[in-house]
Amino acid sequence: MRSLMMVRLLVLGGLLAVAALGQEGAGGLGLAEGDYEQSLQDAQRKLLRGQILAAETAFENLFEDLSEDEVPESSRYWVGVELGLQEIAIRRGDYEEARDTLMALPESSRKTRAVALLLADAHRRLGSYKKAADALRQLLSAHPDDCQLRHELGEVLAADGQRNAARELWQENAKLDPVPTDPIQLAFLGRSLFRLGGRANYEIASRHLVDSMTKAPERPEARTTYGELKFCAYGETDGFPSGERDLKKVLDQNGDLESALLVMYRIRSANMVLDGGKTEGYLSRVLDRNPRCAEALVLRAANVLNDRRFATAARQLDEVLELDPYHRIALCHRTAAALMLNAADDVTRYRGRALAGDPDWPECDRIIGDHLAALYRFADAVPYFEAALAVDPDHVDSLQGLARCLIYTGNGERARQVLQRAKELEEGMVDAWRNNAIAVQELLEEEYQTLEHGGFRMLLHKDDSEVLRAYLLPIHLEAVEVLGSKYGWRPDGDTTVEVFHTWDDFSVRTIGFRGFTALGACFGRLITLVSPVDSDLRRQDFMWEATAWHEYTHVLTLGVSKNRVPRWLTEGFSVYEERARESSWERGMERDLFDAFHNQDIPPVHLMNRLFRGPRILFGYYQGGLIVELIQKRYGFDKALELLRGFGDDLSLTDTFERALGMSSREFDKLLLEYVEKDLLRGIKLVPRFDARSMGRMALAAKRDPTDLQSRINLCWGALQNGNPVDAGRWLAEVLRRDPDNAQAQLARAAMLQRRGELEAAVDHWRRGFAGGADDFDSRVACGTVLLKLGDVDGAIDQWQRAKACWPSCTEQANAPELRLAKLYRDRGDQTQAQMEMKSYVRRTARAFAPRYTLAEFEKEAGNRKGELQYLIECNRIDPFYREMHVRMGEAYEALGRLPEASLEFEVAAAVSPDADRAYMSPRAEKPAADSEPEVRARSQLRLRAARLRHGLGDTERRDNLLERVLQESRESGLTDLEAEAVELQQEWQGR
Amino acid sequence: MLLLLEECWGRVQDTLRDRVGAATYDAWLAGLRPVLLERSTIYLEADSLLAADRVRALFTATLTEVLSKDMGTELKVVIQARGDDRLEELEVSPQRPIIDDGNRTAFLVLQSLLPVDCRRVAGGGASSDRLEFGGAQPQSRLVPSSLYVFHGPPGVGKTFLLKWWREQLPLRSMWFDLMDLLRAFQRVSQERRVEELFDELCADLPLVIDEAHRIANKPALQSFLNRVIKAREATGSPTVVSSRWHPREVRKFDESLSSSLLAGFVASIERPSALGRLRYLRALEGKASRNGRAPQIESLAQKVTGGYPELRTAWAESRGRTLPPRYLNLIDPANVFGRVRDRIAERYGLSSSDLCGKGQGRALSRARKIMALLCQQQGLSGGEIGRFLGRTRAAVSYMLLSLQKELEASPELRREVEDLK
Repeated sequence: MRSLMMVRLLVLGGLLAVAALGQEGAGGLGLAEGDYEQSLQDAQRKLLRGQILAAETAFENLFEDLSEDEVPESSRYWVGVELGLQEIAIRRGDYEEARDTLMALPESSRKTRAVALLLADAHRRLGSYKKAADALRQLLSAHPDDCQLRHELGEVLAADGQRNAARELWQENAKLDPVPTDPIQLAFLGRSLFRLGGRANYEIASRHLVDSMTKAPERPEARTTYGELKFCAYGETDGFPSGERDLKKVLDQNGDLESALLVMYRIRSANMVLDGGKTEGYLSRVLDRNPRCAEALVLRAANVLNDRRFATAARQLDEVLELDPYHRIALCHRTAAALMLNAADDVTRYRGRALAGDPDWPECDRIIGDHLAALYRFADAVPYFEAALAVDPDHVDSLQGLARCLIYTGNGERARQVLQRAKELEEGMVDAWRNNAIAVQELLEEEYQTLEHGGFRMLLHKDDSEVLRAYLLPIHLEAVEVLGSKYGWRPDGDTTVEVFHTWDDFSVRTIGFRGFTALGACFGRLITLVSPVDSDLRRQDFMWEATAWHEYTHVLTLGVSKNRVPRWLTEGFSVYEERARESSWERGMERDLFDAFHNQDIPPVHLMNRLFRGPRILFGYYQGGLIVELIQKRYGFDKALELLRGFGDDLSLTDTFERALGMSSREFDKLLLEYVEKDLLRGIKLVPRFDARSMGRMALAAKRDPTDLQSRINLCWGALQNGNPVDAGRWLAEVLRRDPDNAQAQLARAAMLQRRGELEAAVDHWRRGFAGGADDFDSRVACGTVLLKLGDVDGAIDQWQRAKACWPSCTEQANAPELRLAKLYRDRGDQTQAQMEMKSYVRRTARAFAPRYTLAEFEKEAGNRKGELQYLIECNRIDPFYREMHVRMGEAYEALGRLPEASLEFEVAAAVSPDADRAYMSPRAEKPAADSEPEVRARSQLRLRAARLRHGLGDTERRDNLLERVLQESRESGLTDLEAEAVELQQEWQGR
Repeated sequence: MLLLLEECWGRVQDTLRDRVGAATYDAWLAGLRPVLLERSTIYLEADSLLAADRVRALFTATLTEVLSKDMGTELKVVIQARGDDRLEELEVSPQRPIIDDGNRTAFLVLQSLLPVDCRRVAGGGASSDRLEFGGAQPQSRLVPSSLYVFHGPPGVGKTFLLKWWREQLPLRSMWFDLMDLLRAFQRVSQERRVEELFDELCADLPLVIDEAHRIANKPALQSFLNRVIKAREATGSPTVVSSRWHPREVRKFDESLSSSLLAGFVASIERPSALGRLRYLRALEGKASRNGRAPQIESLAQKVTGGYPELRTAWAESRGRTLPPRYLNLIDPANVFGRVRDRIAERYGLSSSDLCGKGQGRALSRARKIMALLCQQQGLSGGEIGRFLGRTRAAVSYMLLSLQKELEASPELRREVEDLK
């Protein structure tokens, strides 16, 4: 496909050939000859530079001149003009017009190389491959050394399913000796080598392409191929040359050339780091210039298919097939669309057409596999990739597609072997994803331990294993029981859970690259998680238990829906289940919901997948959770499950909603907005953070209606939020001119004064605003802060207490009035009040380690060991790598008579190494060496403590294991007193 | 020819200086280096693309004339920039084993196991890369055994050599890392299908077992492997075992297996010799004649002793680079900008915030312009540079234009910029 895009370029070469023809035969047309020549060359130059309109005008002017001067139609100038105009027509998608016009040229003109090339291009674009091939073959017999003709004939044959014949032609080009010196010929020689593939061919191709660019720097052919070649060789890997740079140069130099834009799109869409909107822009540019470009239409339809809009994608592909009924790539995607739509007959029909004449072509199955993988149906994709490899075992794209699916179905070891094979086949090529996938699998094999139990296969890093296995496995087993019953589905076979020691390793395993900021991921039968030991993660009070629960819910939703659930819904269920298990497992997104509601930015259900492709992905999770919550509340959980089943039955979104809820998704959108407004946001007094669209809307409203004070106040707030006091002042002045006592305006004025440092004046305006009936959480918090600064502690307490009423469910640690009040009370020595405020806060959110740890201490001092233990358990859900906490938990359990749990906590405490211990997270902390005497002593003492408890419980096996470890470590470290203690215990216990 | 070219280049310097003038000579021609004389074409290398373009445009004729006159024959001159962006080496690593005294025995024995039609001709030395195509020939083994044990410390290329050998085999072969074999063995043991694995391993195909020393302390697998080796003796197909230790030195090793292995051909593979190191480094470095690093490479080969990983690390350090990290990243304009910004900040003793700030001091302004140029050379667009720098695209264009003028006027600045690349 890639080089078919390039046929456009050959015509430019053809135009030059016509110009050359012009120079040869310029003899008999008198004085006008020079003028025609100049005009033709001028028009051709413009076309080469991509100045289509100017080129068209120039060709048309020349056309008129030739008509007026009655120059015979067989003249080469006529041919040149027609060629230019039809080239432009093809660039705009008027293929039939171009074909018919060129066919109508006199036979002698039709036989010229340039005309025949352009005509072949028009035929090819309309699916008449045979005609295109015949024309090129005829031409090639007249010009046997023409690399360009041979290459293009190869492209047409490849598109027609004659891959071997195409390769033979390219091979012929590759073997040419001597190598041509003409830059265009060199470019096509390079292109043939590129299409043949392989390291050696790439290296030679690069030399020819560079030579071609040096000789004809203004031409796009070589540079476009060179950019694509770099992409294939280096895969846009950081530290290696990028093809994008070359393509940019082509686009700068030669305008919006279809082939260059398509390669650019291909390069950029392979790099997910880049701005997706900009990448999409290149495809839009192709279609703006040529709305009938089959390759671009296929790419767009493939994206739509991956977005689960199966029927739309099928329709779009049908349009391509109307244009070119034999477009094999379009037929492959159409087969995939038919498969998604459960149209078995269509699958057979389109697949048959795609493979007509070339049954061993692996691309069709590879493309279907890729679509299934994009839709998270990894296990379903495997047979397709295997089928592709059955006909072509060396097909690298299929090998890599298979490897990806194997990884995500928990078969990492086999995936590594497959990737190694792909790497061997692509010797010397850089592929960042492949490299990373192999590297992370090797890491898993070298540094991770496998724990298999109760339907789980857990891979834990050897340094984390002892701590994590104590908690992670039980929570998963609990999830199987609790959630399994709720969803009525249990997986058959093992679910693999990989818990990565670092965020980087997790990210690479999950998406193939660093930089994925999620905490866990689920692919159906594979769950990847970041270990809570990761230092970046620990600073964020991340709740690993909530993440594990969340990810296991995906196993069920994917299972119930046979992997067909849309992303927003599976995430919605997972978020919902977090809250269902523990109400304090919240996401701190209420303010975002408030903003989105007021900015009219809560997307309808049918567009929710888009949230997962942009920066608002977390809001997508949250909104999904709200949808499931609403369905559960209004219609019951069974109806929510019915949605999953509907998707599992391959119903469309509309049909699924109709079947499950008896309403369309658009009706449900209205219900959701009502729920958000009336239930979730009711009573919250906040100023929304206005986005640009809202600002525009409000500015328009303010312009239309001079009495619209609310829009002006909002614009004032919006300007302040954007750090623009000038506009804020302007809008505020307009409000105050009309209503000097406007209460909301007073609050905005106070905020402006606070920024200027005029604190007393600010407090005065806040008070006037509040007295006038305005209220706002942030203004209350800010007012309290300023009052505290001014020494009015009681005033500050009053404001923060009132702030609680403005937003009772606030969980923002930076703003929560309870935390501010707790600090203030603590500073005043009022511990009881401080504790009450903190308790009130931690009841709402689980994401607060330090307040919980402090509260646990308070409970212990108050003699409430049960309360202490509860807080410590909640701390453990955030960070289990804290020895002191486990010791405290052990002691609390012991005090409560729960000896098995106490023993376990002492064992885990001993397993927390200084490197992982939260106690040494601060950079200034002096961390003992793992083999230092105090450390070994502390560890051994904890194990002895646990051993005594185990002994009391009659668990002799674990007791003896613990003693053995103490003996071993104490002997190795020369701690004879410990060794003696352990030996004594051993003798005492074994004696009994 | 390089020596001849260098002599000629030395001779013509005064003539060139006279012809173009001292200032122009210092600015543009003094920095040129002769790199190759091939088929009547002299290749000269300039420090930068800018210098190459300038010399190509203005002085090619003069250079051609002066050099042709000195050589006494008509020559063509090609000017290229250092680091011309051709894909000369897609991956910097040798593709074939380096053969030297340390592994010659193993290499020759393995080579003798190959059918003649795909065996490399030893006549031109072990490093010769000609292939003999003579149709299928009976195998002519150097040693009368079907079991071969190669042992040597890590990093001497045992696995690489065996992989190369496997690739030369015209037939399918079986390859197992010991750990893979262990996993397979455990699985079939659980499923009571050990005999199936046994039969598979005894097939009449070459079998390679890599990392065999890891079998220590695994008695069941040791006993199984011993059975396999004995059974394979009957088939005559080669069984190649590679291990870190000599069979006698592997701990907790079954006596019977040890004795079976010792009954085969046992050879050690040593760390590369000085010559081997030099060959490896040359393969890593690429065309030494073009990069002018021959002395450094020779010195590295002398100094660095150890295995191939150590050599590779030393080589990377000698080029001011580190070895590739475990994970590769995709090109991210923000990362590219950050890297360039940090390099410039370090070089000029400025802070990153200064570089992206509003300050207009002369030194700061120049550093910022150089940063913009380097970012552009790394493929960032004017718009992207502007976005990261907090400036408009037009401002970035102006910065680049103004720096180009300064570069044209100042050879020192050009050198400074080149050093930063």
